[in-house]
Amino acid sequence: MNLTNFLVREAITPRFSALPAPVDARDPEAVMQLKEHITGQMCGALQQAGCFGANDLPDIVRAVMARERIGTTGIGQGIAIPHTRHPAVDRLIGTLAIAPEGLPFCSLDERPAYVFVLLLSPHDQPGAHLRALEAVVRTMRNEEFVTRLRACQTREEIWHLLETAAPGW
Amino acid sequence: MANRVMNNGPAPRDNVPPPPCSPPPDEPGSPHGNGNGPLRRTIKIINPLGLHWRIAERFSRTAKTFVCAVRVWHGESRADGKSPTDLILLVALPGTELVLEVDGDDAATALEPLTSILASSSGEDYAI
Repeated sequence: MNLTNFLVREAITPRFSALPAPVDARDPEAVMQLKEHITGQMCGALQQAGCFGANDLPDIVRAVMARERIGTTGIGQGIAIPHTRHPAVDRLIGTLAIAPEGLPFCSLDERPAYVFVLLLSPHDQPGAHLRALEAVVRTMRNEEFVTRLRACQTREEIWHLLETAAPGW
Repeated sequence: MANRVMNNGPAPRDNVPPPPCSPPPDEPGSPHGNGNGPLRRTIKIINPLGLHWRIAERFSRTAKTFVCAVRVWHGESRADGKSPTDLILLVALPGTELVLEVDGDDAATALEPLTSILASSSGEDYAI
């Protein structure tokens, strides 16, 4: 599986907008508020792209945050994969966002996250979710690719990189 | 619960010469390996979500509390059990059989708690 199989092009977010003031990475509650901000923007981008209705947006954000509260999805090495299952989607979808300066995410390696891949999947498709996780992890293990991804400025640049330079398998 | 899903028999392919990167078969009748070599257990994933991130993270965190090497095999794919991202690369769907392999001083102690995590059936339904 390639990331372009499930990432929604129109929802890719090259830069977060209106981030709150810098957050103390040692303050779990502040980091959780930042996570909610990030999640809101990424889910909002998917909703704007027509992936689900506006009425579902608050509940999807709430579900992603509920998942985040039981354990971080900051997998380390600058990557975070917030995710949840939700009935508002009928197939696995996702979006990608970049924070060039890095953001605290309570990641496993306690370092900032730079690349965020948010995944939403239906309740009845665990296989699709696991394959997407595998695709994200495998892709993001390539340090050269991640460096190039972090340097992208626009949605078009990101998509072109994903299409042409993502490690294949 | 864990015993119900464990198969303590020989590792897969024990009548076939193993390829270089697959776990060697146990001796017949020796569920935990032989001599001072690695201990192995075949575990079927019954969690309805498969081996997802939360399980991988909990498994690797537990594995790191032991000094022994911890490896998990899915067919010929091998994961370092102390790396959650390695475990995710196995793509272990519900029903998958994995071979847990522990090798080192505290391997015998590590086998049961690690088996319990992989064999857990809890769905951890976090979606609201």
